Amino acid sequence: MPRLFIALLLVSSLSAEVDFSRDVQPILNKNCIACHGGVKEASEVSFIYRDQVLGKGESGKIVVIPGDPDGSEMMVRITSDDPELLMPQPEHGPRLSDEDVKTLRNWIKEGAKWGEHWSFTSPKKHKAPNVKDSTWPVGKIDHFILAKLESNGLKPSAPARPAEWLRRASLDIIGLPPTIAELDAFEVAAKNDYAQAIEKETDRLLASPHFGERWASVWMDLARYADSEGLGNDRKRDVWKFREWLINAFNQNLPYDQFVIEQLAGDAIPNATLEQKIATTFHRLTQANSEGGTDDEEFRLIAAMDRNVTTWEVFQGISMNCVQCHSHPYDPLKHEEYYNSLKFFNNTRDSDATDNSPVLPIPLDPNKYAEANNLLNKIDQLEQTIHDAWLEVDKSSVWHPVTQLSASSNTAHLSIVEKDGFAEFRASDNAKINSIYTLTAQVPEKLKEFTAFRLTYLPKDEGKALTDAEWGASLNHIQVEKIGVDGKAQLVKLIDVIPDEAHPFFNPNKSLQKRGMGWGTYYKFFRPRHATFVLSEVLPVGEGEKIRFTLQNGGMYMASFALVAKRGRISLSDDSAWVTGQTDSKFVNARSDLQQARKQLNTIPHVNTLVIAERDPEHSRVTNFFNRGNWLDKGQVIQTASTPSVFPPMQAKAGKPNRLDFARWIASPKNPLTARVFVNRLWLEVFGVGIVPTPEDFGSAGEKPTHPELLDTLAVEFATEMKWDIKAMLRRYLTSAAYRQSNKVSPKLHELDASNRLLTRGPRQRLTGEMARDSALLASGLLSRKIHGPPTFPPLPPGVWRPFAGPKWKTPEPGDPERYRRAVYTFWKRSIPYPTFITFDAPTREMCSKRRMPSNTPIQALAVMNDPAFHECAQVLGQRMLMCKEESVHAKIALGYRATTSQRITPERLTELRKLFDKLEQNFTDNPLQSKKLAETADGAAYAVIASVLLNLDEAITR
Amino acid sequence: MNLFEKLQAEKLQHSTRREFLRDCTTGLGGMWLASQGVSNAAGPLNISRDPSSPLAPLSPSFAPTAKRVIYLHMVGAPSQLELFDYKPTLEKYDGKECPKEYLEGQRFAFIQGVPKMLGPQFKFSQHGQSGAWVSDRLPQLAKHADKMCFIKTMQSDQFNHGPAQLLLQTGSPNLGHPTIGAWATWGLGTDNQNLPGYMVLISGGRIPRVGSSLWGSGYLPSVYQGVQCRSTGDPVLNAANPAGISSDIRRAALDSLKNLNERTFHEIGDPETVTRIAQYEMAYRMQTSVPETMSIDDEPAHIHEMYGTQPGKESFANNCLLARRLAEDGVRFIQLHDWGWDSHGSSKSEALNGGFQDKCRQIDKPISALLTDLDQRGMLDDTLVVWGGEFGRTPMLENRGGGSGNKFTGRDHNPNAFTIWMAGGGVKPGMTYGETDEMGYQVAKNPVHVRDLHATMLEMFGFDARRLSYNYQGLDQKLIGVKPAKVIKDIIA
Repeated sequence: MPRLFIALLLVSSLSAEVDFSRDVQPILNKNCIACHGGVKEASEVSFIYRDQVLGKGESGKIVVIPGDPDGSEMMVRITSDDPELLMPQPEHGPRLSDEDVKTLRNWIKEGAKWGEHWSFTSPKKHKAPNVKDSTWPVGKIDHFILAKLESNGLKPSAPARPAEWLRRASLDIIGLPPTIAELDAFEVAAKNDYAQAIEKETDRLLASPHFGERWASVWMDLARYADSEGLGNDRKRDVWKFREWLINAFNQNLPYDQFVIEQLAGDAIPNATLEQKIATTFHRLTQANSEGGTDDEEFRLIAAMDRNVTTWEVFQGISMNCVQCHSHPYDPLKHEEYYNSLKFFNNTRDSDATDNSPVLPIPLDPNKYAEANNLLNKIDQLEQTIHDAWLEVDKSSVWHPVTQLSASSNTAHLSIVEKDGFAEFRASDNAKINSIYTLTAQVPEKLKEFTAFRLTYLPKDEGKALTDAEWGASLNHIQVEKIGVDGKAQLVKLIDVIPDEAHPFFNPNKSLQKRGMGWGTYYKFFRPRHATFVLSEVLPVGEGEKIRFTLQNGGMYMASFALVAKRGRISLSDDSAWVTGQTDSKFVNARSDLQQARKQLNTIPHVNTLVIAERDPEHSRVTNFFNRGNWLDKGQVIQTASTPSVFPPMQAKAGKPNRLDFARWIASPKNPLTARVFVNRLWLEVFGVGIVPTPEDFGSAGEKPTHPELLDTLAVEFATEMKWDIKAMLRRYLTSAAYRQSNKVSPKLHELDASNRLLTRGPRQRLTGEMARDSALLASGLLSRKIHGPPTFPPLPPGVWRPFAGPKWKTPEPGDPERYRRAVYTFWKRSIPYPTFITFDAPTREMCSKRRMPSNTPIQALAVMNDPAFHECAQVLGQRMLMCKEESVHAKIALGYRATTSQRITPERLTELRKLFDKLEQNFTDNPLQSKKLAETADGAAYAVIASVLLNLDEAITR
Repeated sequence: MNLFEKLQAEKLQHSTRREFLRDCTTGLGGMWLASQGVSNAAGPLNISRDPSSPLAPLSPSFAPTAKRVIYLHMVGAPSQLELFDYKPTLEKYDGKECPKEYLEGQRFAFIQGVPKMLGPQFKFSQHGQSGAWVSDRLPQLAKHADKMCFIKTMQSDQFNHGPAQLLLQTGSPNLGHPTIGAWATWGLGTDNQNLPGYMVLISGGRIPRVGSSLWGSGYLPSVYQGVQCRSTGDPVLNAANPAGISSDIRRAALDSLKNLNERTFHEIGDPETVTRIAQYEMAYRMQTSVPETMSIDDEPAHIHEMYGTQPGKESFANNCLLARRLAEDGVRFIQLHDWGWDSHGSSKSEALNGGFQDKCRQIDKPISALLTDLDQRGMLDDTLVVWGGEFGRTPMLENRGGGSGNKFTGRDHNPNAFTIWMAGGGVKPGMTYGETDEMGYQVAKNPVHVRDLHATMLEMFGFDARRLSYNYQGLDQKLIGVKPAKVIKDIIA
């Protein structure tokens, strides 16, 4: 019964006319969509698009005829008594209720009006509704809340006591409970003017440097932030500069539209700052797989698909995962639209390489960011300048293909194939690592002078490789000799290797030095790639002479793949510009500047951080449709990246739409979802349940907003007049009368509104895992308030840390402030997440997580009672009570109670704890050995146990 | 209805009961609601659970043949061709180049180009009345051949360890899905409320690479995730009191805590507080029962002798004995992971002519003892024992990096065909299901995909795998996913 009542409460403005998205769609989603939706269109019937509903099924009968329920096949089927005809078929589900049948009948009778799902249409601002009790509302929010309460015959709860409000606000906004001094000050101020005290305190909290830490930990679930790579070996990787960026972004109140754009496409913003480049780490937090024998291309694609899906989930509240394999089961998102959107993310330079490339050397000291960014830009420009200049040289050069070639190797089977006017070499598939190829070319007839040669590595199957990349190769060393007519060999000195891209991951010139990876097609490549090798001087060559190339191939990659060339061609040039260019001041200066800039950059202490970077247009990847979502079964080529047609169209700033255009499209006031999804997320964190209770799904399978006008008004205001100001929005929430209510709940009220969706009372939430740790540290006085820095390693229970692949978990000694850093800095390893966080329902952050579902388990109890980190807090809090200036046991207990719960102790509680204290003190006096394990003295040990009880109180782990 | 709404609705339904319990919170954890249960109406199974006793036992849809599971996962994938799938033809091809048709359209983790075939490395003989082929590496286990049901034609669609292990445990190669243990615990609850319902034991010196996701609860509530038992430190994380806190002190502290929390409940009225009181009481009982169950010291000498156990050591043998103790004490799903079966031939420890033989010795006696022990206690009938890896191994010699010349012998990953076996819990004893081709490379007859194994196991627990679902992100999520899965009726007694 209570459930029914709630359902009635939530359907507010029941109008006479049937509304498609409010009344009809839920019935269809529940009963029909499984067979007649985006996944399956059984008998050619689907209820996703209007034209399909008004069309014919396989039987030739029209599904729905507007205005004619009796003529509509749908009505015939759902009301049939013939089990052969009845829908849903009896084995698939129960018969529709009479009420549902009536709704559908009325809907058709009224013309079967179609409505787009509410969240896919633009939000409109609404006037604050009138309320009977005009004294209660503080702001506009309260009018919406109260109007709803009043329409349901309910009243708001009394205001919370100041200590209750401050505890809630402090934990919600900065993730830490108030200190006793803060409580004292606030209680005094509130006595004077509660409303004003709330305003001032809210401003203080929003200005606190801890604000960013609290909201970063919220965003880190969405960003799937972890310090390890996930799948496979789950190795450590350096991404903590992104956390630093996130904390700063919140603290500096970066407008949300900018916050979105920088994370999705910071690298593409013109004149991007280093901060904006760091923001792109957001999408490098996808998993990587460095397990031996894994296909980099597979896991690169998995990461790209994750970026696509995560973008839709985080910023749009749309579940896109299922659209990889088929059209969305409930929402008008077509299968191919997934791939149109994937194309935005499919051209980044990362490739699941074990070296994590691309990375940027981010200075440890943020004061050096501007300097480093200038150097990085300079390096980029110089590399581009040099590359472009060589392209000019190349344009006028004539390349003479090698048409007569012999090849040998003692560790690979080589053969020569005539193709496209070349004599090219091919190697057998099981060519061994570090194979040495000896290629001897006859000097081409017309060639009189030899200045440079071009080595091209090609995929074995060029057509197929465009969509199924092949394993690449590395040229670890190359040596060239001229063989005279007399057979004598003369070493040919090489001076430069010019790659076919401006910004290669490895220095191609290393191929001349025998120092590991040089020029190559590592690790997977799609198209032929080449490099031009330049001689130190023009070498006269003649008929009958030969050139011998000795190629040393690369070693093993990921313990499995040999980075060995499988197919290659050589052509020679007689253009002296290659050689003279080397001493041309244009190149010489650019190179020396480049070297200088690199050197300078390297002197800045830094951490190589994973970032997103786009591939050059000439090396861009092809994006295909995947048949049934299978990446090995590629369908048509996606020509242009685009957004689903159900949404407002996207404008490309110039040329073809790119990732930046997409980011701007999301961060636009015209996007119907962005602002709604975000104001709802803030609401969820603060009020405990979202206005849309399913923050992960704003589609038609999700729940409808409890206060739709409020949500839309907040969304419009946030995206327009408030200019995406996050702190200002939170300020509105915190200073509202709704938030100020006491969280006391009577059995009757609880029965009426169990999850407090109507806000009949103030929110009461369990602490998150992060808050649980930080609160215990704060109460005991151990908390380090240092902001930022690399991951930290707090105490762990023994036996937990057995990583598959490092790093060591080195906990600083007791007393070292690094041992007591806030939870947000804890090293986050996906395969061994920090137990306290997981126990308190944190996700493992393997993928984007939109909501934590609070649980209440014995494992949580064991953690707060016995986990070494909590136990240390209990001991130190006990000491704090023992040593405090208050003399009496009562006062000491009261202090501990206030430190852990933010409340003043009641006499009954004091009596209870005093009774326990006396018992403990007696016990420890009788058992000094036991006592010593907890504290110096018996009373100290007793306080430690009292402190543990206090930390475990229901009040201490709720806010 | 989505997950959140469902939980909220459930809480609401049960809140009246909590009012009743407000004044009598003792013994709360052991109780559960009559309204909890499994509905048998058409469509997806609707399992409703009281969030304050989420592990209370429930009856499945139909009579189960297995009440509990002991799953012995050999991490890294043991070679079926050296243990159970005897291939005399392969012996003849030993050292010859692999036929081209075996390589076309296949993806390998390590093999490149044209590898050579590798014959069985050990001697095989037939055992028991069933005449099952078992190699000489498992002499003790071979004596139980008539208790075992071999599936020779298991198939996976993943050929890397991480994704394949996830597929085997969760039905999906990607992270974020509940494991079969979590599904079983969610659907059936557990018989002993003083122990977790789903426990995980690890041996071989290493935790599997995907870590806790191999016993995670995915989108199911976190209470259904496996609890990892440890051989160093507390058997269950934080089960032991800190130094200086005796059991008496803990009890006294908990009594006060309870009184204080009850006061809070009277003042605020939040039912979560009542649940919390119950959870602390359950935690206290777990503190006693977990170490009791997890200590093998009190086992008689002949049992230690039979299993080859040494108390205090991390070993597969200890874990087998622990598995029996947990099963006896009412744990629903007992998952063992034994690391070290990835015999590529890349080093001594990972070679058929090296570490593989040690691994065989480490499991032969304990598994044999476990089967005997369960049988003698009358528990084998309703305890399903499953043994297997995440995929099989190729009949070709591995040639990573392009060539052999290695003194160690090994095989690459083969997802196309591998052997697992089951015993007890209602499987047909002494039978073999499915046949591989003459090289043991592909399935020749009766393929069993991992999905089919899952469907079959759920059937044994009393659930229709097509209906056991959980609504998440708007979809009825299932262990078997969306592709068709079949119950292998032939192997169910």
